[in-house]
Amino acid sequence: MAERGRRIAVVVLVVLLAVPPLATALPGSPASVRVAGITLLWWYVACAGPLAAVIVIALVRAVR
Amino acid sequence: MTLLRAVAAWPGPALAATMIGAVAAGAAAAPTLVLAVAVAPLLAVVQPPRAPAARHPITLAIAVAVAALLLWAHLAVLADAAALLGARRWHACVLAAALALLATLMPNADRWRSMAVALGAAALLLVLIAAGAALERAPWAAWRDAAARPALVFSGGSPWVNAGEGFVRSTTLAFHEGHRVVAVTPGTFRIVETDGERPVVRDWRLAAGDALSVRPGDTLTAEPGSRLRFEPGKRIPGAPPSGAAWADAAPRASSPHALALVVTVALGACALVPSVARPVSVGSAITLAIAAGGASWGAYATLLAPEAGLAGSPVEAVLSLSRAAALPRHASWPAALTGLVVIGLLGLFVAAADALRQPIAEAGGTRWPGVWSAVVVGAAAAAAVPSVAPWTPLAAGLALAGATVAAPRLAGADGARIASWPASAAGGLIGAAVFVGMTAFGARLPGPLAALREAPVLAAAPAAWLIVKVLRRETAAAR
Repeated sequence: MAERGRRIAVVVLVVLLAVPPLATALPGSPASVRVAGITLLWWYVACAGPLAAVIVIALVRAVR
Repeated sequence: MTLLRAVAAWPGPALAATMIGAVAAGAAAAPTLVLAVAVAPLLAVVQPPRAPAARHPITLAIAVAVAALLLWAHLAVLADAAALLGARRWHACVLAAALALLATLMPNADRWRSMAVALGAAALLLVLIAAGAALERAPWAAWRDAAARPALVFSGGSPWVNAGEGFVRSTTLAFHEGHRVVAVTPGTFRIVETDGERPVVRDWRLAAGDALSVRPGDTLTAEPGSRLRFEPGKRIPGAPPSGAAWADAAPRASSPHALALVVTVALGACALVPSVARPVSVGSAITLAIAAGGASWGAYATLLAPEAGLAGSPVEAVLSLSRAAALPRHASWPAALTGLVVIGLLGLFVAAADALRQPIAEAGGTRWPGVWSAVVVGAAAAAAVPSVAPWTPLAAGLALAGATVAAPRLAGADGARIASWPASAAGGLIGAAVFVGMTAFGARLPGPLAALREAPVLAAAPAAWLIVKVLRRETAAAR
């Protein structure tokens, strides 16, 4: 179970890290859409992405 | 080493300054870099606990090369800061190297090393809070205001306009409108005029007070140590033309370059940050602090000093927050904030040096103090030379660590052997050979493969991983 949780955490973290490079390749530039004056990309990078990473780690540790 | 120290030591002054400088300059890779620096340590933390580095000459050579490159980058940032503050580069290199040797070689100094991280982080946090209070803006409001500027111009209070500032290393500035620049100290400046089809190169030897007119489309190359003064209200050469262009540069980044950056930083973190078997709440908190702190610092820096980065070093953006102390209605003592930034950078440096010492101590056996001292002295000597920007040894060190340490470990090299060698040493040797080969001869590769020269870790890490995965044999003890 611990090994499975670790593998899931690694996959999720890699996906989270790959979002900015992949988002820039999407048509229509969704990354540059502004919410409250700030682009979605920066909301993701400074808040949502790291927070999601921390939650994933916490969940994996809790399941163990 | 505690998890707190390991994760806090991970960015060090070089990665922290590069990240902040990229955000402040509106670099296309800035968001990718911020996220990678913040999240990559967690990728390392969830790995299974690793065995100590094998005692083998190859393992020791790899640890020495990685430590030398990364220490060079960290010391180059400190030397850049010294140069920008009017001191000599070698003063900063000698002081920081002596501090690192004292903190890492002194017996029973574990508590002091932990205190260095805490002190450095606290000093930087204090500066960030002071800048936010002086600007009367939350970081997201600063980002919004920075993105709303109609043009990025020199303000009347900028040191580049008043007394003039010096260049840390050879820097080429591209002008988008006419400028009249004044030499503060004697120096030689190269102007490349793009009049018609052929570029015209002119070298100007200017005395102190001499002025030079530059036209739109021209480039000016300044040598390290030369000082220039610019006109207030004119566009900053090399900077994005407006706040909107600063904010929208990131979504236009090249995906392959951004992916290469993510791989370099992530594998570097997997090599340098140890995994742990216990709760990681402290590491998680540091992850959030790195992401939010780096982005906030960059946003404040670009609002306070949009010309930060002109001198040729990312540390100019880090130091620029001390200007907040001179803002009207909040006039205080800018030197105090500058001092706190320097303490913060030194604290991060000592922590990073301690983390880099660990693999050398494991692989070097009883002779590690001599080897470690030589590495620190060599890195200090290299950093005293201003020609190389911190990013060059930093990227090389992270990529080499990823290819020679992380990739074999991810393939299961710990406790395994390839013939009579530890698998980590054999995989590391292959990774290092491919890394050096790609760096030296990558430009000769055909077509799109030539891009591997820019990111040799993309070829070196899979090679090291594959060799270990295919050839490794479990040792009796490991079984």
